Amino acid sequence: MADKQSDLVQGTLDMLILKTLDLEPMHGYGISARIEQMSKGVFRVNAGSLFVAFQRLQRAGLIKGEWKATENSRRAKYYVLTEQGRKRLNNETREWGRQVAAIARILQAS
Amino acid sequence: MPTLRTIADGLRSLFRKRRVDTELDEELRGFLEMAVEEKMKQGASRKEALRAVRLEHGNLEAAKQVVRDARWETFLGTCWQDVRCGLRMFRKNPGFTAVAVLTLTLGIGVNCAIFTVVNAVLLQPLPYPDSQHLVLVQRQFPDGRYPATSSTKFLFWREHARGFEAMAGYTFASSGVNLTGAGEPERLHSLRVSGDFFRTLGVQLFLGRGFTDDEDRPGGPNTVVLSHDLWRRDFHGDSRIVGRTIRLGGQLCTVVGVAPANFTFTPAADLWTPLRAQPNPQDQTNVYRVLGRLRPEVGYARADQYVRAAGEEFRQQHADLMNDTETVSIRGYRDAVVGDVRPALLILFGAVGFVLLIACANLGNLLLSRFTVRRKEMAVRLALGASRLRLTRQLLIESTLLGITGGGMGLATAAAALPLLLRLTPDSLPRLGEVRLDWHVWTFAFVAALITGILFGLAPAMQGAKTGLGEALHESIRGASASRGATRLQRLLVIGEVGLSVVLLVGAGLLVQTFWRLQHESPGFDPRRVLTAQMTLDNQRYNKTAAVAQLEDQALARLESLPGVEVAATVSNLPFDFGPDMNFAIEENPSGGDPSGSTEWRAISPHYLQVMHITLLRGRNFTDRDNVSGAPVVLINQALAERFFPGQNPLGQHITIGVGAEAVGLADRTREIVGIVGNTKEFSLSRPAPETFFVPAAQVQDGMTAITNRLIPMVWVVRTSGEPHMLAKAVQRELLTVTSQEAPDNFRSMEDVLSASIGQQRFNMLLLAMFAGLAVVLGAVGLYGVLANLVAQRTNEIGIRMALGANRREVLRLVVRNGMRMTFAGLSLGIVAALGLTRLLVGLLFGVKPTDAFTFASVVTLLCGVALLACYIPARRATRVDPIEALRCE
Repeated sequence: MADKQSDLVQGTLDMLILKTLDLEPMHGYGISARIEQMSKGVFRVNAGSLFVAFQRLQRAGLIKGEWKATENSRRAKYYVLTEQGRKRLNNETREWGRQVAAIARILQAS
Repeated sequence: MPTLRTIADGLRSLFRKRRVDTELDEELRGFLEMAVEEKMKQGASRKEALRAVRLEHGNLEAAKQVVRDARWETFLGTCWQDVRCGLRMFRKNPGFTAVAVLTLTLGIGVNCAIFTVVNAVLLQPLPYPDSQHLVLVQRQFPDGRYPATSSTKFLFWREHARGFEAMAGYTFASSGVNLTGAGEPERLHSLRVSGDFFRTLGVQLFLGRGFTDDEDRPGGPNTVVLSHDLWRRDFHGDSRIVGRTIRLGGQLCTVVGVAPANFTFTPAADLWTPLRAQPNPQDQTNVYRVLGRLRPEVGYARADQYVRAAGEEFRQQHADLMNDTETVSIRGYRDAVVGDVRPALLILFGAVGFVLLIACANLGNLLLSRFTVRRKEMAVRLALGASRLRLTRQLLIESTLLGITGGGMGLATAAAALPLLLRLTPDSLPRLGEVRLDWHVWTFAFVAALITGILFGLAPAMQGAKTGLGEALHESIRGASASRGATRLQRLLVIGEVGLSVVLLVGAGLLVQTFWRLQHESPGFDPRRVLTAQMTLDNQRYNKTAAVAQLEDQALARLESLPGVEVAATVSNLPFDFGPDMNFAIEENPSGGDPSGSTEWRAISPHYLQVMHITLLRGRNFTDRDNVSGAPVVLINQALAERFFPGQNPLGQHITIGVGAEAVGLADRTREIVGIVGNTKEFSLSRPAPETFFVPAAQVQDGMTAITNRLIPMVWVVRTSGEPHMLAKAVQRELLTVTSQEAPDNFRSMEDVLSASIGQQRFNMLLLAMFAGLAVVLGAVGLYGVLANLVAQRTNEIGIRMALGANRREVLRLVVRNGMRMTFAGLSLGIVAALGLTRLLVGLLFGVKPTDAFTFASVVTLLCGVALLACYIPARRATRVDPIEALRCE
């Protein structure tokens, strides 16, 4: 379902993009494919949301874009995690872990 | 900084729009291609792959739009679009634009002009460093404050009051000085100030220094500080002036300093000389004002306690010199300077605010009418997917554009009108020299324009947001008619306009009546064909009355022999100019008389009554024989006779003036009352004539002559047979021949004096009448506009009515009734508001109550007349509706 992405908690798309880019610089389609693949098809990201997120992250200084050739020698804009972006990712991962653990405790409490 | 990057990035996409868009384009296309390739790898045909990708991700154009809309600069871009759209709309509707801009220009223009004055006079700090610490120290009585005090008290306060950085004294009045030595003598305004005067004000002299303590001591060296203007004018801006001597009143004075160019102080002066106050318990003449600079950490409340304590200390030491009810208090110096004019200026400012509100209502109406026409446009845009927010924003941007344009032109108008306004302002308005269009005024104009734009744009914008889609499209087919909401709003706006006009008109009417009554108030003398001139007798020899009398005899004889002069005289001071008041005792009635010392004292030469046409009621006038060797005599006015000699014949009784002032030489000989004269207004036309006595100038005691010579210039008055100013040159020449060292100055006709005395009332009246006139015109235009619009919209209905047999009179009545109903609602509202608001005017009125029925009735009549006219024109147009044409439009 393409609508799956609406289930994404607000702000988690940014985190997923940052995580993807943590592995290696990647272009828009690559990121989209990687998120879909890593989530085993649970999350599918609509192009509009994805590019708005790119714009937002770029303006926040968390990622940088540069035009490069792909392995298929096509020109594409590759996004790279900045130092600031890496820091943010670490923080958010930690925070996310804490929250998930807390929610899990609540749900198991009964 | 993320914010900085956001801005930088935004600016990049704003100014390199194409480039940024191409990049996004290319990126998205790449995305699509890769997705399609991926699908094709899995075995789909290109066509199938494309379809699948589109299904998954939606239209890429839409995605692009989503990305663009997420940028802040996009918001800016569409605003810019709205601005251009608005400008195009204005170009296409030049009539509408012209009316709107003109209304705003007038509304904001008058506001800016009045604000310029209010800002400079009331809002700006006085032009001295840290002027908020400057205060006047004054005597306080249960019935009010007395800013003048005696030298003894001033010196005591200065020594004993805590919390002050410095305290300075100055004389509140000065007769001036004669500068001689270069050609003809020149009369200059001077002010005697204590040594720390300039330090207290915090003013650095332009050249040289202020006075030293030694110079401020009685018998110290004669020194003088020049004003910048005088130094430039009379001494050619000589930079080596300090140390040189000039001759003032026959005495050599050393110039020790020159004040800076922008230095102003009230009373204004061309030069300053040392005060030389000395403690003298016998001298209780209150001629000093005391200015203090508080320490920065001392607030007004604490300073007030400090001076009160100093006052009580004084009472312990000199119980006889301080009245039981007398205390000492402070008053902020700015308040003391501008406090008197604040109510009038604030009322005028409020009045222009009303004018602006009326202008706003008018424009709101205009836009609402236009909006009715534009509903179709709005509906179509809504149908095509424009958001209501966007439409509302566009309407607001249009009105703001109008507001800003009107504001700019209003500011320009204010700048052009400012010199005119300043010419209207009475000389009594303080700080006039400081009035200028500074950045405060610019800010005010901008904010006024912005608020105005939003205010009058709000009504139509809100209507716009409510536009019902189907309804509007449907209506537009049948010929636009205003929605019910819009019509109600228009009516409310017109009612409000009429109401505000009533308030302004009533205010103006009351002020016009005040002025009219003042002008017809008899001053007790005949101001026509009287020329007056002032002269300072600052030479030491004039401290003896005999010398003054000799000068007067010679000069008056010459003046009276001038062709065109009927009769000439002197007086110690003119009505409406400052003059001394004295106490007196009645010989025949020891418990009578005026111990408080508030009886006006005038010294006159024998012909004064003839020059001024003051009536002699009983007894005799002065003659040449009432001189120094004659028996001491006095004339009293009717007010004095009635108050102090009720039911008696004052003639032949004796009074003594200046009881207990022997030590300072003000005690007079006992005088016989030889005549009673008619009352003359001495303070202002609006105040009753005070009790006044007149003594022959030749019989004044020397001590009084000396002190009046210092405080007030003597006055020559001449009754002429023709236009008084024509004789000024001749009178000046004759006087100069006799005096040679003293220059006659300040030639005014008595009518000038009278007219200047009601300058403030004239100013209030003219401005408020102008604003009220503006309000009426705007209100009439508003009423006319709404009715005209109504007639245009109801053409169909009127056509049908006429087709069904209504005659022209009935149609006329229909429209006029519609308009007059609004007018009457506005009138009732306005009358209620005026009854409440005109109370604020009480202090400015004379001879008329703020609820004056005549004024209210006139305003109602006037507005009804104007409203009828405004209704009649559209009503007549309605009667010309051709039923066939009107119905064909269906």
